[in-house]
Amino acid sequence: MSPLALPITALLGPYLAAFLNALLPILGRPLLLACSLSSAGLGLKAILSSSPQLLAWLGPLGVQLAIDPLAGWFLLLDGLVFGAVLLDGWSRPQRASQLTLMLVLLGGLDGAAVVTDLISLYVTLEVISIAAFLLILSETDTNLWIGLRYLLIGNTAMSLYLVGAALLYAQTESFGLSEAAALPLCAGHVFLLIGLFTKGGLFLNGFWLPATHAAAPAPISALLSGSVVTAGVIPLVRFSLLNEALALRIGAVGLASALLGVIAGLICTDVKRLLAWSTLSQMGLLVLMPASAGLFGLAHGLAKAALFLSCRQLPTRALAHWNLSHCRPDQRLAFWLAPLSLAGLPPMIGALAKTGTPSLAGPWLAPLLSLIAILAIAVYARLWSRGGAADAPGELALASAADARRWSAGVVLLLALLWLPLLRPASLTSLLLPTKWLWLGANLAAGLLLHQLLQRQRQDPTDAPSTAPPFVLERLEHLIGGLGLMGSGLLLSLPGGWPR
Amino acid sequence: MAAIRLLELLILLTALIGFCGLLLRKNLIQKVLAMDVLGSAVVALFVLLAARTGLRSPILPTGDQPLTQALLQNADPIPQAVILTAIVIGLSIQALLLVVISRLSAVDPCLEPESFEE
Repeated sequence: MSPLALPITALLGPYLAAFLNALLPILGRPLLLACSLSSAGLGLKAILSSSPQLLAWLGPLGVQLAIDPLAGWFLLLDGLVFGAVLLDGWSRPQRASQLTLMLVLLGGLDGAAVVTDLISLYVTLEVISIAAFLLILSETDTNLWIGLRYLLIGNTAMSLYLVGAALLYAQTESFGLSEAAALPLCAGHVFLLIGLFTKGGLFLNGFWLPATHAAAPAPISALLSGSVVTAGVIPLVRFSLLNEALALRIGAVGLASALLGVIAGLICTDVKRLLAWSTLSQMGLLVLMPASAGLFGLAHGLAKAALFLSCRQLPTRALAHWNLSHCRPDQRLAFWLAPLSLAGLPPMIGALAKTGTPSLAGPWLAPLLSLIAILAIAVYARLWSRGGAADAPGELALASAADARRWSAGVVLLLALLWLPLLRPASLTSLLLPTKWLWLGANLAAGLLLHQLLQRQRQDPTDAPSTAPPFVLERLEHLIGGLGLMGSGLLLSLPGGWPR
Repeated sequence: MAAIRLLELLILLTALIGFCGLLLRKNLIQKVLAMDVLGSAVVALFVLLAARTGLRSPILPTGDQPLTQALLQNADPIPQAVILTAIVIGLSIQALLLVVISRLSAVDPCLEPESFEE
């Protein structure tokens, strides 16, 4: 048996399972579980193996796959997140069509993690966006506009991406990602970046993300924020590792995105939007630290999927009426533990993820990153404390008593996985130094202090209606304008792009 | 070659027109049509890319016909094959968008984005 037979089966499996599920709906859940496990298994194997498996069909012009450690982390993440979402919904009836779409989505995500040629990447990203679009619409009819926006923006960005692929092919005669990255910076790269920034939810191009992730049903939000959004950032990370000039631009956009996300998270009034803005911010940090991006993606995806899964059946989504004591115990646990992991509290996995080296350098970088960390803690503190306003009348009707006691298996699994570093205590020794604790403690104190100050501002009862209008920049016209703006900005940043 | 350069410029101009339409048109159907203009420009760009090496369909002649220089001036098959996939994906996405738009027309028959933004 060829050594590639196993990975190919694991990558093709979800698509075959999707067809099988359409014919025999009773097999849906076991099939999705098997595909999640095989994805996670393939990921683990790729992380632990010393030599990456490279595969090029039809030579340099065809499909190129790389099952390397970077892809491994994201394969593992996809498998775990899909497994957890499946477990979470196991006791509830689920439509066969939804499972089919989830299988296709898993196939697309696994593909996006391993492909290293521009065209296969385009195809997998489009498969992902179509499956995600249908999943967003799958439960209610109220998401039509959000779904339309998602697909329209995504497809426009991917058209621009194709322009970039064509311009690069004209120079290199190949669609390979490494060949494209080997070129000096040119307009083709800019078009590629615009497409990938949009898919990865970064800075201005990522403004579609908060409304979309907030509007989707809770399990779908968990998939979107936990793993779908990473499909767009993996290629950015690969570019960053291959080309320094690209890494600078991607890192700068990532930093801006990280800052913007936490500031918006401090202002917004809805808990799911807060989580989504935090995703935008974390994706920015992920592309800023390309060398440790895989671990960062895993840490973020596990925590964020647990948080979004816990958003099902919340007593209220309005942060003004937020009160954790009205939530189920597993929700309370998730809203405490997952943000702590995101903030980097050892020995949880988030602490390991924070040790990467940024692709930017400068004396201003460390203070800026500290500021982002403090603001992020002030954002998470909103989840830990009570909202300023009194309990909203009528909104507190908890689900039935039986449901209130039931713990979600998916959330518990994800929260347990946050403690993964305990399996290898050696990895933690550098994190448990007194200086690290001091730094973390100072950040936590500053973040909580900032939260107290801001909370006093928010206490005005006329303030913070639960259905505040979205930012003006989140409107469709501005999203498209953002594509143009980022494109022109990046073009001007090219060598010789700015008329001097 | 100058002609190819000119064509490339025109195609990129078409893409820009599509993008501006997407930005400036108020009606959702018109926005989707503008997206199609952008998509068509991308298709044309790939076809032009394939035509750099020659215009003949890239099929080798059968029999003992000698391979002359003219016969070897094939179009590049790779961009053509690639864009075929992209055309299919673009078509299916447009179909999905139009379905959603037809459902949205029950809310606002004018299909102006302002009425759907909260």
